[in-house]
This record gives sequence, C-alpha cells and structure tokens, in this order.
Amino acid sequence: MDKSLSSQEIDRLFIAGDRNLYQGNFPAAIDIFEQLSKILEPNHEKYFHVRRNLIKAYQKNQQIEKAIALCQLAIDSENNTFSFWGTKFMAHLDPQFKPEVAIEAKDLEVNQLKIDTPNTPIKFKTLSQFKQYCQEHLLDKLKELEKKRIQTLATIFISGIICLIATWGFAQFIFGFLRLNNNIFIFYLICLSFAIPVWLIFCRGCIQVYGLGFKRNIIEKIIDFIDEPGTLSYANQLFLEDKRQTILGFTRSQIFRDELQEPDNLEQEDCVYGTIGNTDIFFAEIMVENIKEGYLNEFEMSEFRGKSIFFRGLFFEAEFSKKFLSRTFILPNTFKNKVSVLNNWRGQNVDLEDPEFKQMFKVYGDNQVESRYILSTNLMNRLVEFRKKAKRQVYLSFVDGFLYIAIPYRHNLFEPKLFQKMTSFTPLREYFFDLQLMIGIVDDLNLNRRIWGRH
Amino acid sequence: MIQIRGTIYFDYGFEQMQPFIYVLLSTAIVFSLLSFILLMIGIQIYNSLIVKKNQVSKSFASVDVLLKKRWDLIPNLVAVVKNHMEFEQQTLAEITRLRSRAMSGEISPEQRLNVENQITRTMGSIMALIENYPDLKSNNHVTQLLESLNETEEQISAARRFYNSAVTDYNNAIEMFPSNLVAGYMKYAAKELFVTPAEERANVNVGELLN
Repeated sequence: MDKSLSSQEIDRLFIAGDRNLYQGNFPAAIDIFEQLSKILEPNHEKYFHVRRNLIKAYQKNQQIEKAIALCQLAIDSENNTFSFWGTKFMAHLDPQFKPEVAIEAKDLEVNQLKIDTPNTPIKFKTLSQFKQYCQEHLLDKLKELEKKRIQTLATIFISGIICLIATWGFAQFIFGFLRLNNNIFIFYLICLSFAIPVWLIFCRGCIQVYGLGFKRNIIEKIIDFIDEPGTLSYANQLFLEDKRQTILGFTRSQIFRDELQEPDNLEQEDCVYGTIGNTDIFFAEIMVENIKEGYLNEFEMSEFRGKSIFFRGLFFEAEFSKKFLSRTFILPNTFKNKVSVLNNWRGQNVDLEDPEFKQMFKVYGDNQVESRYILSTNLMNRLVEFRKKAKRQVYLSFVDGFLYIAIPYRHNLFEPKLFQKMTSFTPLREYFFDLQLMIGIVDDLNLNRRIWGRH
Repeated sequence: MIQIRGTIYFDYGFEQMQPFIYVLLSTAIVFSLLSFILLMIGIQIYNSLIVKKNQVSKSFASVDVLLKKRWDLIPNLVAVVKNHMEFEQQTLAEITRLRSRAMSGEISPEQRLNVENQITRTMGSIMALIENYPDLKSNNHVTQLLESLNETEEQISAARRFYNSAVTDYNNAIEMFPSNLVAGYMKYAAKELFVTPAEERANVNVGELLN
C-alpha cells in the first residue's frame, strides 16, 4: 500500500477496521489494521489505537500467538501508556504471564499493577483512586482543555460582539441607502433576526470542535482507568450500520413499547462495547425521538413535522447468564406502571416476595415461573442495591436471552461544560460515576456467573 | 263521595296513600339495587376465589413438571458417576430408590413432598462429592449434566416461589372479610406452603459431606 496516505484516508480506514471489529468481522478488521500498522509511524496519533485494535482482533479471531507477540512489542514500547495497556492485556491473553519479569525496567506505576485473570471482573474504583489518577494522568490534558475552553468562550464572545456591530453597520448602511423613514432600531432588530441564527450555528460548531477533543482526551481515558483489563472499546459515535444494531436492540428490548414499533429516530453517542469477564456488553447514550408528520388541512397543501423526545439516557445491553424464552420487564414502581390495563402488552403482573424490591419495582412477565427463575432472590437484592447506587429510575427487560437496561437522564451526558472550569473535579466525578455505574453492571448483577448451560 | 259545584268526585284515598307508595317503591328500588350490588360483589369474590384456587393448581403443576424433569436427569447422573464413585455407591443407591418412590404414584402428596426434599438433599451431596473426583469434574458430559441439574434446581426453586406466592394469595383471600364468607360457603380450606425442611435450613457442613 502506498505509504503516503492522507490523514483523511487513514481515518476512513481506521473507522472501517473499527467497525469490522465491532461487528465481529475479525479477518477484515485484521487486514485493515495490519495495513495501517505497516504504514503508520510510531509517533502517529492513531498508531497506538491501530496496534491496540489489531491485538484485540487477533485475540477475537483466535490467533492468540500473534496477539501475544504483538502485545509483547507493546510492553517493550517506549510509550508508557501503550506499554501499560500492553501489560494489562497480556495478562488477559496469557494467564501464565508474569509482569514482574517483563517490566523490571518500567516505572513504579507499572510494577504496582495487579494482573487480572481472564475471567476477573473489573474492579470497583474508589473516588480517591480516581482523583489520584486524574492528578497523575489527566491534569496536563485538563489544563490544555481549559485553555481551549477559554479560547472557545473568547471566540464565541468576540464573534458575538462582531456580529452585533457588523449587523448595526449593515443596518445603518441600508437604512441610509434606502432613505427609510421608519425607526432604525426596528430595522436593526430585523437584521439581527437573520444574523443571530448564523452566529448560533457558528457557536455550535465551536462547541462541537471543543467537545471532540474533550471526549478523545478525557472520556476515553476515564474508561481506560475503570476498565483495568483493557477489554472495552470506546467510540464517540458509531456508524450507520451500528446505529441500526442499537435501534434493533432498543426495539427488541421492548422496555418502553411493543417490539412491533421501531423508534422513529435514534441518535447515539459515547458508545462503549467489549467483553467483561465472560459477558459481552454494549452501552451508549441514546436519544429516541418520536416524529409526527402529516398535513394540516384536507387539501394536503401545508405539511407539518414535529419531534418529541421519547427517551434520553443510557441504554445498556448484555447477554444474560440464564437461558429463557419469555419476556420479563422490571419497571419503576410509579402510578403509570402500576396500572395493569396500561401494561397488558407486557404480560402478567408478577408479584415477588422481597418487600424492598416491591417498593422500588413493578414486574411484568409472560411466564410466572421463568420471571422468578430470572429474578432469583440474589438478583432482586442486587437490583435493589443497584437502584440505590444509581439514584435514578431504572428500567430493565429480559428478552431473547439478553438483559437490557435503560436509565433516563434529562441532560446530555459526557459533554464538556463550557461555563465550568475544566480543572474542577466536580464534572469529572460525574462522568466517572456514570461510567463506572454502567461498566459495573456486570459485577453488580453478577452477569459473569455461568453455572447454567447457556447453549 | 264529594260534590263540588255539581260535579261528583269519588275519593278513593289515593292522595293519602301516595307518600306510602313512594316510600315503598323507593325501598324496593334501593333494596333491589343493594341486592344487585351484593350479588355482583358475591360473584366477583366467587370468581376471584376460583381464579386463585386454579392459580395454586397451575403453580403446583409447574413444580410437578420441573420435578419430573429432574427425575429424567437422575439416571443419567447415576450412570455417569457410578464408575468413578466406588465409595459412594450407597448415596447413588439411595437417590435411585428415592426417585422410584417419588415416581411410583402410591404416596400421598405430603409424602411426595418429603421424598422430593430428600432427593434435593441427596443431589446436593452428590454434587459436592463430585468435587472429590478431578476426572469426573473435567468430563464434559458431567459438566453438562451438572449445568442442567443446576438449571433445573433453580427452576424448581422459582416454581416453588410461584407456588408459595399463589398459595399466600389464596390463603389471604379465604381468611379475609368478606371473601372468607364465600370461601366458607364453598368449603375452601387453607393450603400449605412449600417450606424448607429443618435439615436444609441448617448450615451445610461441607467437611462432613466430603469425608
């Protein structure tokens, strides 16, 4: 392949490889990442990501020896972050691997690593550990982002003033040119009504550019910190085909409505996917919209189109450890969810024994025995604890061997706050809490427990 | 007979009777309405009791289906482990005997419940004993069988919980006013819950099992 690929072509190839890896098309992903790793220089910004994905693709494609060989190269790499990741992933690939031998010359941080066995779930991280990690690894990035934030704010502010002055100048010019007798102020306001939307679009672009850097530098690092074995991947936005998968997942989950109804529109961002222990998981921040279209009058002359947000929040999908055929829904114990007539399509009311669980949730299911088989007393306790930890309404459904969880939020998650200092710990704590909550579901609900035959 | 300005009126006493008829009619209407409402409530209670009784039977049938599923797994388990567990032949013989007894159909439901509980305990012992035999543990067939048994045990436990929930619902209905009146008329009696035997409730002594 030609060594002089443009950065756009590299990005395009990387995206294609990442998509293949995510969709389980490992040979194609290997082809692309092998090509990319040949042409990219080690100091290229994508180099680490390409090598990391290549190792993952080898591992998923059962080419363990190749994965181990590449991982060893990663450990020997001069890039500390890559080497750190390589050491963690090597333990995942080869349980016999002893990091002490391989990393004798590495820094203290790496020597203090505790290596997980392949089936070890992700360990819960405390806030103080996260604070320390932020100070050690994120502070420089945060300072950079703080500079960018101030720049972005300044750009927005200055462009706003320019917009106001330019519009005033324009209004005066036109007013003088046309020799109008009306009040100039009203004419100025009319001109502003055209200028302000253009300025708002410009501001949105500025914020988006700032947000992209933030997600790549901060959110991905926080996930890396929580995901010690390095088995999860983060993508700010996935692609059309993957969006289709999420739409199908959301429809299949039937959490909010019948399977027959696909959402009119679904947007997703901040997607995390991968394997924790034995469990494949996926979660993302999604926004589902209802679109109403039609004609205002019977002559079909004037159309209308309205959007309303149907669901906004985190959506989690994972394979469940027990096999089952029927559907079970666990909803917050609200008045609407208590009215059986409104929930007839979810099946029968399942009256469970745990009083604390009953206070928090309302359960519907197709099969009384299977619903109880899924909701063992242990899982009920865990769900109660999870609900307390989340401090939010939690919707769950068990359909077709999968567990789906939806947690509604009113605001957009994992977004940089433009009017808040980046070096402040408060927003970081929020991101950390939300991400750890989602990644911790596997452990919280004990999804790795496999004493039943799944197949 | 009253004569007013040449017209003769016959006084039948209707005017005096009118309030009485009104009261009578109103009472009759109120009474029939009340009777109708009471009848409706009675029918509702009667139907709900039937539904609850059938729910109990349905839940018991689910337990029964799963217990039978477990019976089918027992011979496979015995066949696989008997060559390896020479020293535990007594346990294997015991579970075979218990299975035949449960399947015989000659025992009362209470006795059957007892036998099934014994099967659960003996199965638990066998599963714990298998840990002593690395050959057996690594055998794919045994692993699959244990997975199936674990799954069945979990399903049985779920079905028992369903049964207990249905019985609690039913027992509440036949003890609470006013449904207890209808239940008394229908001669419905309280049903027993599935309870864990005292031996199962005690902490399992794993050391004893493995010795």
